[in-house]
Amino acid sequence: MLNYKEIKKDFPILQTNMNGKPLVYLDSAASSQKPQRVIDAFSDFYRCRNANIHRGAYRLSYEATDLFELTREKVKEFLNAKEPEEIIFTRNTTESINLVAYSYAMKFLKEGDEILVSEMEHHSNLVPWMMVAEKKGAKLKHIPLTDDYQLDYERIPEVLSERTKIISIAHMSNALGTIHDLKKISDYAKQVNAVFVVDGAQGASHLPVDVQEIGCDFYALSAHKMLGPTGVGVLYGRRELLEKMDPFLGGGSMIFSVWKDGFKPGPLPNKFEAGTPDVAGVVAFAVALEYLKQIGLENIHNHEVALLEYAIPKLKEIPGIKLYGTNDLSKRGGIISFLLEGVHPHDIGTILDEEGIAIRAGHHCCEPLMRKLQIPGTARASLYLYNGFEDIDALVEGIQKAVKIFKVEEKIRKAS
Amino acid sequence: MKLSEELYKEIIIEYSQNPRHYGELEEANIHEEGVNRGCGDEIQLHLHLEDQEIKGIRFTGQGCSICVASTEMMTCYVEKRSLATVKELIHLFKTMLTSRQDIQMPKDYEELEALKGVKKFPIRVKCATLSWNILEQAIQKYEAIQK
Repeated sequence: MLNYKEIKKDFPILQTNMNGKPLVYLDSAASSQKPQRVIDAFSDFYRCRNANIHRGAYRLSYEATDLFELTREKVKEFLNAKEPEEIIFTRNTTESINLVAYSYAMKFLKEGDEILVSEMEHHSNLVPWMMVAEKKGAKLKHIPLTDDYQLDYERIPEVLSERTKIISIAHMSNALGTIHDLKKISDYAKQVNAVFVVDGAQGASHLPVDVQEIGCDFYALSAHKMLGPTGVGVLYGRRELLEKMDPFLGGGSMIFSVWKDGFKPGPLPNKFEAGTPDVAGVVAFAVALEYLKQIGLENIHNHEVALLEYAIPKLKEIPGIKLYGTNDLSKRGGIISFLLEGVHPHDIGTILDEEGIAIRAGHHCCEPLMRKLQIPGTARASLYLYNGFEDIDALVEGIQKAVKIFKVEEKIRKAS
Repeated sequence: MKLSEELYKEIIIEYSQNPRHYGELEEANIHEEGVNRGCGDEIQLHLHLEDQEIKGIRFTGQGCSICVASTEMMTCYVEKRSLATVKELIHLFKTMLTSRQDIQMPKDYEELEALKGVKKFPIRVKCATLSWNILEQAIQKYEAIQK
């Protein structure tokens, strides 16, 4: 059992008040909070280690470079990539997916080719593919959902074909919490020789990831959802593919040599890392990864499932509530998406905010999914390792306040 | 008074849950719509404008309680009023919600002060002003046609 009460003490912001109440942070799917040691690593870098990397002919620059490259090594281990050169630092998951879209898909996709996504993707795993499809004359296809908010794996053969060149799926849905069977999708990708991209924005922070076992070609993640700083993302890519791709951005650091009339790109991973990166952020990310490793991703996932098991029956007792997410908790991460009869999610968000409870309300950058479910959006409480059972109690109590203010019971009585 | 009580006054809940001007308008000659992308409020206004007056107004779409209540209150106050009066009211209402000063609404429009609590929730001001901005655009559209 994960000692979340001790863990909570590591996060200074969780000791603060919001609107006069202790902060209950239930929006980790948007961005996680940061432990003191990550904050320290960030500020220590600027106080004692600050220099640009890969450039300076002096000790401070060597040290900064070492720390930066050490993080690459740690990410490699975290994802079980084969080699550190397969780890590219970007700004976030969105940029990582765009990198694949521009450097791989723009180069290799042909008219009539197909890109397969699902009906519950985040805009970041949709819009880049839409942009590619429009430019290249390719087509976007969607794996449908089951009534239980899972991917309908049985219907994949209906949307998969020899024309499918890219399959891009989230590891875990940010709106519903569904964890997808990546191994199964990877097998389908291999059947048709499609490149398999995983949007790991939610997956990498809550579940163990082994890119070799999954059999994916690319895996994208964001540090800020994994206790790390904002502005740091990762793209894992299989070397064979990264070698074939064109650089994404041009400029300093990404070249081998430049002449008046041309350039030769540098080797991996420099080829995809143009310009000065967020060195302090990357260095602090290493500390976040260590922290996650120390707690154990398996333990974090189990803790979130235990919180879900505690929360769901309590939430179901609230009059007028509708929960969106699979009932099979073995296939669900710590996301609670819900609506209250006749109450807009933003109103729920405002009422909870007054109780010091931070949730997200809206379409969660998943507009096609919300249209499919025929709702404007949901209220979403997302859990992480520092949340406890008392946070669930506060959430339930806060929603009860919304029920009272909006006279939900009265409305249900009138309608029946 | 708790902030949420200030925001979700009885009158706001009443207007948002029982909007009498919800629906299409057969005689409408101007249609205008607007969206608050971040929160998903989507309102369409259907207006019958003639002789520099709002003869009829209805709305469709969906939004939070503040957005719907504000839209319903607006429709109540602008129907059968001259465009000159309405334009003045739009200006006054938006100023009430965006000015640092405490703006009082004239006696005839006192009820709109129920929305004043929104000022304490800056992120929700756009919910309250959405339909008023749409109405402003609709009037501009009508006036452009008249020219």
